[in-house]
Amino acid sequence: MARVHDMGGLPGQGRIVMDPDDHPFHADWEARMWGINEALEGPASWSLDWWRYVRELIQADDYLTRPYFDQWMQVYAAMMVDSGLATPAEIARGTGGRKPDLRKPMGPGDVAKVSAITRDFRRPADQKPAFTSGNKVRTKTFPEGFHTRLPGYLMNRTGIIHAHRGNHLLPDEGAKGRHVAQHLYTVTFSGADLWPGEGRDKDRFNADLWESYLERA
Amino acid sequence: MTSSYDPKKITEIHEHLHSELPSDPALRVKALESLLVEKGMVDSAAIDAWIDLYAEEIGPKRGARVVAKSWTDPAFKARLLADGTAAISEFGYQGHATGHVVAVENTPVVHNLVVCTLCSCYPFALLGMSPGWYKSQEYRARAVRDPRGVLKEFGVSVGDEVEVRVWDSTAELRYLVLPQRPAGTDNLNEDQLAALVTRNSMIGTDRVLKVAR
Repeated sequence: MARVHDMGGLPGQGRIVMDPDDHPFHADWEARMWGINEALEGPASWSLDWWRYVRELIQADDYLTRPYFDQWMQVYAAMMVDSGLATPAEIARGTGGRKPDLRKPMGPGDVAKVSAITRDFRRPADQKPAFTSGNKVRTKTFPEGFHTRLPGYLMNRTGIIHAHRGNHLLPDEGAKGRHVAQHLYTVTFSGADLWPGEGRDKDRFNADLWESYLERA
Repeated sequence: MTSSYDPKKITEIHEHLHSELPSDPALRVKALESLLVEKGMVDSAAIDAWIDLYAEEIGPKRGARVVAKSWTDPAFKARLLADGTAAISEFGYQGHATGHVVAVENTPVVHNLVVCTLCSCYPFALLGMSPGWYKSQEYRARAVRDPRGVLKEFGVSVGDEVEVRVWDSTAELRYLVLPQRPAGTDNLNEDQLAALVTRNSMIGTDRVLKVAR
């Protein structure tokens, strides 16, 4: 399983294509799909990072060629099949199967309230942060085949802790359905280190990385 | 209704779906919505309400008001830089993907640029829907490798004296770029200032805001 989604720094990319009309949706189905994502609460086991991981596991060709919101459709379809809520044939037909025992879906009157809910991803910490601002750290290298938020272009690199951000839920565990928190840091990397010889010496690249991604350099 | 959390199982399901679902995405999404409604998991009227809310109320005008306020009220700016989420809540703008907002400030010698290389993270409740290019392979790949080249394509030239700071949204922190207040705007009020702030300037793909003459 190659990390097809892990695009940071990939060479050989063309110009950025901008929409002349700059509209978020190019067709009704895109808006519907986005709205399904908002209005569907789903089973508790569908964590945000499980959702992301299921998207990352889409076949590479589909990930690279299918429209963005079409990939969302694929994610929900796959999660439904995985959770035993529907078969691929039912999803293809748009009908059939048992009605699951879930609470009543969000109604139109709930939307304003739900839209204003902010999720806080911090959890109380039972350990002190291992690093403080200014510490020099080295990022680890993770093998392919599991969900992580350490991008490939930042593996095995040296950076400086810019800020400690609190004890945040760790996506690597969230994608396995486990709610484990770890200290999170914004780490700054220099362009000279990341992209030697490419004229980026003046630029700084920051990412938010969890403690288990880092070791003291 | 548990999940397997098993990448092998999901890979097989993806292959299965790939061959079994209709090839037209419009049909696929229509079938998915019908099935979810039949299963009592989604209310189509709630989908309509979400689309209306983001079309009419939640959009980059929110972020623009926050930026304008930061230009006119130094105490607010200090609060925004200290705790972005608390500061935007003063406007009632808290919501999706704004639980950990971090404001980063442009100066004559600093330019900030935001990207999500791993997916498409974006401060929705503050800036509305993200533009298509933000989610594109080209932007995600190049913003962290050739930010000045990317900026050039957006018509932004930054001199050698300017440090470009790229922020990759790898966690749940969401970055809001505070563009510089344009010169010649001393006589403008907050609403007029907010009208100058472009969405792209809050992502970092715009830098010098235009003032109507």
